[in-house]
Amino acid sequence: MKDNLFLAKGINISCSTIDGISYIYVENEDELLKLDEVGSFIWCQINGKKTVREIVNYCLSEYTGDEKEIIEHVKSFIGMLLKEKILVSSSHIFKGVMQYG
Amino acid sequence: MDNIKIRDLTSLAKKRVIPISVLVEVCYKCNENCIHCFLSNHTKMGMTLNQYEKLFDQFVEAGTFFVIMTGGEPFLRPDFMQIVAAARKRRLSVTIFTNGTLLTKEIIGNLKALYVQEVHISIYSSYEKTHDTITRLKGSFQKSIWAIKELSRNGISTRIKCPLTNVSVQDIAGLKKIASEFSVEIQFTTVITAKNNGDKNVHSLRLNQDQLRQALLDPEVSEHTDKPIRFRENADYLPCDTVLNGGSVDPYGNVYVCNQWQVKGGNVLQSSFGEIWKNSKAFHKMRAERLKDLNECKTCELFQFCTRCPGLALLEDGDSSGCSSVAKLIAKERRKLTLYPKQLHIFSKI
Repeated sequence: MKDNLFLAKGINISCSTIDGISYIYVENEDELLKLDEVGSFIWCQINGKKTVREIVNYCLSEYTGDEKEIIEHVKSFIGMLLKEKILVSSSHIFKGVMQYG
Repeated sequence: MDNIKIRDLTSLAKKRVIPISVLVEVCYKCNENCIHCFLSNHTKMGMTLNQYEKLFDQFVEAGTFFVIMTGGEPFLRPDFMQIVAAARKRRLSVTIFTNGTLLTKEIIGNLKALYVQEVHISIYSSYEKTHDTITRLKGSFQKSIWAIKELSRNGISTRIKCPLTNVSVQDIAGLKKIASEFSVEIQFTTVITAKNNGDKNVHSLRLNQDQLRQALLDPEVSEHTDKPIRFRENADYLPCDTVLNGGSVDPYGNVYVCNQWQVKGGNVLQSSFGEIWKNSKAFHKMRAERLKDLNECKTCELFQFCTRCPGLALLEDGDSSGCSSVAKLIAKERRKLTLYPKQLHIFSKI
């Protein structure tokens, strides 16, 4: 995954964050995804204006631990959400309904 | 990452008093003039787009997930699609209540592109003439039916909504047929409420006893269960859990727990929605009430047959803690048929 890709939440999803935990509904699914605290923190950073690198850096500033492990964890999580089309990526900053926050 | 059911999120919202599902009336203006409509005023156009954008920011902060947009007729607003887009930009789930008469292929395409969750269309009869007589808008039936067909064809989840009047109740089979033809859900209601200013003239449209019985006996109209809810077991429950996880905002920006329960908690043009939801004295009072505080319900032999709405009790009978005359009427009929209602949202323990 390229570090300079911009990330946005898919337009096919709905979500809310309650007490720091994010809940995501994906179109045509019967259930919601419930993220853990770290996943929710990453999720809340994604707004169509930040790149993978920026989000990784936010996580490094927020969490202590082995830097390499943190980067791998964050990228793995983002990669999974991209694969499920819960997130979308672009080489350009997102606009309109794809950008918020 | 876990999977959870939507009802689990709703339960969490009740425990944390989060307004997880909020109804937003974007205008009172309507191009129809339905004989049974509960709105007394059809002129108000609602807040500005900018004000709705701020409101939606406040919804995000408060933890809201579902936003239901309605009117009047919301598509009368030239900026309605921008309001929908503003909610979707924040990834709020959007459901729209509409008469469907103003929908076009372009609008439906835009709704699809924004992944609007569901669209509910009001249909009052399968007979064109009867429907148009109820809406008092010639041609409305054809347009609404076209909208249902086109929404369904575009894969947008669609539901027909039908409040049953004594004019239309004989046509339940025809309405079900329309729903089946377009593979959409249909939802009936058996209560015509007074107008929101208390005007009860519309009660003349209510189902008579035989018609009510017919509606109650139809499982596709009224859901029932074989387990009665007993007062003693539920005395510590809230009379209605919408006070915990609901919410409603009218076109003036007034906040209610529900648009049926006309007690204002505050106004979003003066305070934030989250602030009102959490701190309104009026809402605190509602949340403090328990079934055991309802003196008339305590000793009522109809309790286990009753789906009492505190909002209707206030609107029609003057006391949100008192008996609801329409609920009593229906409960009496249920008792004759030994039908226990499914109390899906009425009682809840914090």
